[in-house]
Amino acid sequence: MEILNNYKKLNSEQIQTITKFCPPKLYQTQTELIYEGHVPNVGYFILKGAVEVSLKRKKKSEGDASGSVIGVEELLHNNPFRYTITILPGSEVCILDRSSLHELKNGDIFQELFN
Amino acid sequence: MVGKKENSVKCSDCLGREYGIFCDSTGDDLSKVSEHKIVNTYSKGQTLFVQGNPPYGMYCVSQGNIKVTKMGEDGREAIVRIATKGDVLGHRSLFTDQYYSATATALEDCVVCFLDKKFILKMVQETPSIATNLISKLGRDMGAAENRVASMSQKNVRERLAELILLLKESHGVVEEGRVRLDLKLTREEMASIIGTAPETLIRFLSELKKEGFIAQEGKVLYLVDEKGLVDFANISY
Repeated sequence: MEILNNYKKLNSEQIQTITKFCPPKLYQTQTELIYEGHVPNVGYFILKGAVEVSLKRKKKSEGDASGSVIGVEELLHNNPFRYTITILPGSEVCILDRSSLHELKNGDIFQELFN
Repeated sequence: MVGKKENSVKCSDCLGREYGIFCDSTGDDLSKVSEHKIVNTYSKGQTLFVQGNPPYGMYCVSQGNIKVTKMGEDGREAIVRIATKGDVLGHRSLFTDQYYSATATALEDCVVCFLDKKFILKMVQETPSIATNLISKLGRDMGAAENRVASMSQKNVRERLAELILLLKESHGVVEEGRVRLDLKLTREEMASIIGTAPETLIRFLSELKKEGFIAQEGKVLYLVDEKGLVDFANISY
């Protein structure tokens, strides 16, 4: 998905570590994960699924976001997120909360993720 | 975008602090919470969490009002609670590991803090007063839920409406010139949902209460004028 191209993608080793540490959860309902202008409450790794990306309440893009990491950088630096991200039903998502990110940060495997 | 500014708001300065589960916390404990929390302003209609989704933390309301609703099989939404400053949301799901059983939606601009599950569980283990306050909160929630169930089965609509107005007076009442303004903007549909009736029935009973002089209305704002009279009218022990 073009608009998410700037967001980090994980390799298979990183995916395995994350899914073991933060087992994926199924989203059954279309939900706003992050609102435009909000500091994300948690970061998200989209294992499998699709999102809608909106800016100023207008949809900018929609599509497959599998493999994308969203909101981690903003969460770690307390920065507002640029878009509203809506997860579509049936998506599997690993939830990367602040506590988990601090634990994962200690591992070398994720240095790239946190830079 | 004011994310950074909001996240500099300290717990010690929070308007809802004395009502919340961290009200006994001081010094280092409060600083830990203050540094770890994420603060955002939710606009009217924005959701904090959605029924059926996985839980991952707890929300503390610093300012504003939030409605907690459950969607029925028939697609109808019922308001089960109004959360205000000092209230916590999403805490039950932390301990049951079940998906969110309700949806929380801002009724107006609300400042809300979020703490992730791992942090909350760590604080509960390390700080007994937080655990005690949380248990106390859960106990009060259960009491309120039981009262609600009893009201639905034992009281008629008029009594449930009177009870709602008296409860709103306790949680959102502002004394003004001898009467109490209910500082909460609820639509008639929302009020009807809380007491389990149709909006038309609610409007009819509100008119009745106004005619009797127990309440007054100016625009969309309701005032409790005669509390004792309302209690007697509805024949409830309060």
